[in-house]
Amino acid sequence: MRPPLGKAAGVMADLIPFSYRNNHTLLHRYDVRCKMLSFIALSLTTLKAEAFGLLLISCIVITALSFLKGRILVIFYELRFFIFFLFFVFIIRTFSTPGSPVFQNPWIPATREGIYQGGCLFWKMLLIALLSLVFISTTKPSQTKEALKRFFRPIPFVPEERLAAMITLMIRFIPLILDEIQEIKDAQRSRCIENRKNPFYRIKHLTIPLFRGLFETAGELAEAMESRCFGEGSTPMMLSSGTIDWFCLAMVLVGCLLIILS
Amino acid sequence: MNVIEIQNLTHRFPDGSLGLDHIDLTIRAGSFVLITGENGSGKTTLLKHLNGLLFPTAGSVIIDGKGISEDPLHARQAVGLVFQNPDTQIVGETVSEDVAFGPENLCLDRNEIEKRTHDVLTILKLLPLASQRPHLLSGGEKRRLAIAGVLAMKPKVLALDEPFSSLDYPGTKQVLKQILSLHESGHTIVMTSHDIEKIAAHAERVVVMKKGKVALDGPPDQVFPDLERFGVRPPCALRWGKPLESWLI
Repeated sequence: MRPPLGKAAGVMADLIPFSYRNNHTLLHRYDVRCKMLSFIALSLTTLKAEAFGLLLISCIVITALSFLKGRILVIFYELRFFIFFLFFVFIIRTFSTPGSPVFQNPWIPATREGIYQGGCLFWKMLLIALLSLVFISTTKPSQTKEALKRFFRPIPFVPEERLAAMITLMIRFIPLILDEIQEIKDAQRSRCIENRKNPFYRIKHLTIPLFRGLFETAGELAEAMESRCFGEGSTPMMLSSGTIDWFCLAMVLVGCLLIILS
Repeated sequence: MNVIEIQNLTHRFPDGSLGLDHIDLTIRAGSFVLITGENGSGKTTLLKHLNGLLFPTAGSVIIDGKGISEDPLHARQAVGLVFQNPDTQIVGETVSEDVAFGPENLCLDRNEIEKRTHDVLTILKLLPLASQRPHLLSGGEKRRLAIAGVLAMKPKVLALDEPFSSLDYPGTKQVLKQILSLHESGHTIVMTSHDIEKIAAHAERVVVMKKGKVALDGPPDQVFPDLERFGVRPPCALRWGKPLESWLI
């Protein structure tokens, strides 16, 4: 039995952006089914949109982010590796897309089309990541599970209860995984792993204990849930939606349609 | 009346090693039993049988009149198991959501779930933290939340696996106080611990395990003098010839 994660890990969990934050903002109160449909519509529209559409969606995302009070800097700090990855994708696109060259020097084959396409891709991926982050931060996993159950129910041969439980458990597991990574990294740093410059050595010594720990945690979590009678079939959660929820959903859908058609 | 009846219980793990070896044990309703022994003596394995998480290779475990193999769900409801590590036991995103998890799995009516959640949070003094994120609670609060999570299922027996591990002095006192008050309200308490100092003054019966077997079983004053032989440190007070004293004084 491993020792409990403790308060320090709890504080770390507090910094993890992809986790639910209890609050009473408009977004927290927005009916989960309408919210899920709105966020799916916005994400799909983001994939289809051009620069003007992306600008409009960015305004919506910035407004949504303002509901996560005081956490904007933390979010961007925690997403730094993802942003670095997107920047890498942008560079690849800039140099690999054919079109009119930006520089006369043949050693720098950047094109105007490449910059535009790479920039749009960067922007789209970042917006989708931020949209999912806003959704997870403002929605209880139990509500997500209930909404998914209701969406999957009409589909024949789909075990909606099991599928919804799997998805919500996955969301529940994200903070545990990040906590585990942080603990292992700290423990290894305390034993001077930074002196090892070989990245493969460092990855190997991170992943092996990580997976061992995760499987152990997953086993303990499953056992704890089983001991509290977890199984298929539980009291359904009451979801209530008012006129304002459906009005907001309609507004989002119409907005998305206009962006796609523009 | 016996709430737990264990007859000739043997458990063998999938790798062939013996976890429990011919255990016979009966526990009276309303009693306070401390199960002790060194690491690997089979304490946790025994607790998992009471909750129907593990099944006997041979023998039987009867909880409140029903065998765990025939009706594991009955065992899980009748015996609330509080794990050693509360971090992996907490599944809710808020304190109240975690307490409601068990009653929801029992498919209770929503009003009943809310009533039970409110009552249990009040009993365990967690009501002000109802909308707090569980991972941000202190060690003592987490342990109390883990107890609240199983209490909401209205178990007859509360089985606690090393409830004081990793707790500081105030945390230990908080948890001990709650356990004693639950015992006073009629719950049967079965607790494992290899560090018996904190609970020595309160246990009514002590069961010592060694290599999967019950090595000693009896009232504390008879069992404590022999503890050293089984890898468990006897309470300090006894070593100095003084009476046992509660940690709550």
